[in-house]
Amino acid sequence: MNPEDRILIGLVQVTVVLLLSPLMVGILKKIEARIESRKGISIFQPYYDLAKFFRKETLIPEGVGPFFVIAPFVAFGAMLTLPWMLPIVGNFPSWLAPTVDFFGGTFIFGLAAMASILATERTGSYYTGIGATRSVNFGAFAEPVLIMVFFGVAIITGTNNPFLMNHRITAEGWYLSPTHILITAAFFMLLLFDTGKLPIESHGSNELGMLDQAKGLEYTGPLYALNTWAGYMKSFILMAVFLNVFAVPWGLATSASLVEIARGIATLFLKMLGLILAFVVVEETLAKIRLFRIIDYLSASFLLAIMGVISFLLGGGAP
Amino acid sequence: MINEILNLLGSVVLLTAFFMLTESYMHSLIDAVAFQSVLIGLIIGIVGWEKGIPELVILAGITVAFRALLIPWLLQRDVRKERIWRGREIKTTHHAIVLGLIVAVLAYFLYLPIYRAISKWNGVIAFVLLFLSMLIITSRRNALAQIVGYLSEENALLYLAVMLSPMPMVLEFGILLDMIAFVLLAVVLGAEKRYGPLEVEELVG
Repeated sequence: MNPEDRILIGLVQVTVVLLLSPLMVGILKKIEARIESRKGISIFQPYYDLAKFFRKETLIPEGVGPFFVIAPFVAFGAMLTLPWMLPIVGNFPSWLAPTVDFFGGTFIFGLAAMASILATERTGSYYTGIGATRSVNFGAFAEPVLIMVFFGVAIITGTNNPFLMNHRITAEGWYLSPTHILITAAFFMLLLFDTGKLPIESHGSNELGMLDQAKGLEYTGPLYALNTWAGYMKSFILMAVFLNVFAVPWGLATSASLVEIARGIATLFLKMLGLILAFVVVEETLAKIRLFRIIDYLSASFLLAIMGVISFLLGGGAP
Repeated sequence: MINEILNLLGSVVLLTAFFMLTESYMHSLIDAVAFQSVLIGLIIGIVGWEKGIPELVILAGITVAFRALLIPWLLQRDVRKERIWRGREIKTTHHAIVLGLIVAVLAYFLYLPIYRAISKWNGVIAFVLLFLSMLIITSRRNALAQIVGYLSEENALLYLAVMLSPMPMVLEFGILLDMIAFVLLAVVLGAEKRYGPLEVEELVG
């Protein structure tokens, strides 16, 4: 694979993440509204919202310091970097992929989260403080799950590379192994936590139900738009990683030709729709769990992940 | 393929054991043990089919009929009728999960001598399940929950026997344990209904 192809696939992935991520949010909201017998907003509403916020003026609270302004750019930049190193459209490494492994990707997610938490520090708003402390508190319990999932990946592949994981699962019959299935289940629970879906976080007018969302409440205008867009992209990237590395590792573009890339984008879109349907089922059937039960939820997902790793060692229920 | 299916079923059986360790409502506890028995029945049936032993397939049917349908039905009926079982045991779930994980790893190391003797990994999931069920029995204060742990332990023994030994012993053990379970059910449930929840805590010095 020559460098031009690698740069091309990276650019395609960045563009796809940038442009499709608001659409997925719109589709999710639309389907949920239809199920609740509401008419719902247009699926393009997130784009209209972003455009509107980019046109509005920026108000910055007094005494917040420079970091308040920098944080949305850091978060947005991190989300623009990540598509270069994860399998989103193509299953071959893009240009920057050899520089980091799975852990590197996690650190970049962590950088964005850290920036947005530090930015809330001196806003003086009650709700941003609650959002930041809560997300730090529960993030400390979510992180071991992620690391355990990576241990499972490392056990299966022998490396820590998402592309290799994709190849190994499709090629060598790892798909039905208990290690893979349990790790996928753990990652799905983590995905619900990280993207702020219902058993964890309820959106809407009730601020007490928010975790991550509350952190951005003090932003206005273009800064708010950047922050929100970074949030959409974060969900999109995590969902793409879940689909392409764990759940449905088939149908990615195998070369940088136009046909292959178009096919990769189309299958990604279809898989994403399927995942969104799964999200809708979860959101419509479960109620929000109480705040301190979130730790129980996370420890259950930790259990799934560690069982995945252990079941590799147990490896023998067979006669 | 069959190997992977059995592994997967075994892992799910372990997960049900963890669920039973942390669940605090009686009716869903009984549902969990019924589900676990179905899984055990499936495993026995698959092993029997694979090895071509008709007794094992019959045993699978008996397991499902008794442990997954009859006993849970009796217990559920009792839970619906008596107010004693409405209460829930309040405990912190994540502690129980961590404790269960420690016990699971410990059981894995305890299996190593068996592995050295027979050089087969087959029984290890059942062995871990055995210890987890023991943990359920000891960590619960509610008689019904302890009975559920006992049923789970029976499942583990059956699973272990199917994985390790040839046939006839298994059947005898299964029948024997079922009898013990019925006696236990009758005695403990009767006593609890008459005297209220048994004060097990007072036995601790």
